[in-house]
Amino acid sequence: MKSSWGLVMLAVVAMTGCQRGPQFPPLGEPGVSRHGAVVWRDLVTPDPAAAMEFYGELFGWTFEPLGDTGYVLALLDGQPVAGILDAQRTGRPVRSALWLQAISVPDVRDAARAVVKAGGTIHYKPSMLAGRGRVAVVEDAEGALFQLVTSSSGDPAVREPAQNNWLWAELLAGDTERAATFYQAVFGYEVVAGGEGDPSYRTLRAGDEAQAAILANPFEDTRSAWIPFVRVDDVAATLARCEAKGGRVVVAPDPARRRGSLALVLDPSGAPLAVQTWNPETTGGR
Amino acid sequence: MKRVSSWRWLILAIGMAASAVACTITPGLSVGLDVDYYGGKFHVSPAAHVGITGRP
Repeated sequence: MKSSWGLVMLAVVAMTGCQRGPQFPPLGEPGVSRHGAVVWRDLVTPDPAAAMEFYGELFGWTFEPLGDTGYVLALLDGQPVAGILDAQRTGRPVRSALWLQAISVPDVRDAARAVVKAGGTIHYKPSMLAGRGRVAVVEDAEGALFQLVTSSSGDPAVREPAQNNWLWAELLAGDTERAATFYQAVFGYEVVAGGEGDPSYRTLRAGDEAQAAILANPFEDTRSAWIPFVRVDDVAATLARCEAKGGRVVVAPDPARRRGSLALVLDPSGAPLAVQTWNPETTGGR
Repeated sequence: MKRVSSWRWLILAIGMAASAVACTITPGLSVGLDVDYYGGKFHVSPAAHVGITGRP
C-alpha cells in the first residue's frame, strides 16, 4: 500500500512541481543553518476545529488557513509557529492526533537515504514544497514519525524560546541506545549518555547546543514517539485551561520532577505534548 | 486533469502515516499510569514515572 501511494505521489509531484498552490511561509532567515535543530512542527489531527479551539485557549495562538487546503497555520503574535493538517482529508481513519516535528538537514535526499540505511522508513519521499524547501516524512527504526526539511529560506536563528512557543523535544524510545545510534547516523548528533539520574538518558547535541533528549518509553505496546514541549509561564493555569477545553492531563506537575515545572497532556484528539516553565538563568539554560 | 500540488500530497502522506502509526500511540503504561484514551478511562498514579524530564 505504502509503495503504491509513494509511486502515485512521485508521479503527481513530478507532474505538478511546486509552482501552483499556496506558499508556505518562510521557516527561517537567509544564511542561517542549524542542521539537527527542530525547526517546525505540524499537528496531524482528525479534528482541526477542536485543535484550534484548544491551542488557541492554551497558548493564545491564532490561526490562518492556507487557502482551502485543509492546512492551517498557527500563529503566535502574528508569527507562524506550527501547522495543523486535517487528517480527514486523507480519507482514512486517524484515531489519534500527533505532532510531527521537522528536523533541519543539509540535504533531505541524503538524510532520507541515511534513514533507510539506519533501519527507518520513508513515508513521503523528498519533495519540494513552495516556500518551505525540500521535505520528507520518515519513521525511525522504532516507529517514531518525524519530518526532514532543508529550508529554502534558511533556518530560524537561535533565540530564547518565547512563552507559548516551542521549548524542547524528547523522544520516548523503546531502546534508547538503538535510537541514539539511529539519530546519530542520520543527523550526525553528538550523543551524550546519562544525565537526569537515568543511565539510559541520551542528549542529542548539534552546533554546540542540546537539541533534544531520548528517554526510555514507559508505554507498553506503543511505538516510540516524539513529545514536543511548549514553554509556559504558569503550568497550573495552563493545565486548567487544558482540561476546560477537552484536553487531558496525563501527568500532573510533581515537585520531584524538575521542581514541578512540567506536565504531560493529551490534546482533545489525543496528541501528546508537554508544557514546562523554564528559566534559563536558574535551570542552566541550554 | 486537475492538477494537485505537492503540499496536498504531503498532507495525504502524513495522514496516511499517522493513520498507520498514531493509532498505536494510545498510552498504556505499566508503571502506575493507566491511560485508555479511547475507552474514556483515565487514571494516573501521582508517583508514576512517565519518562519525560523537560529541558535542562
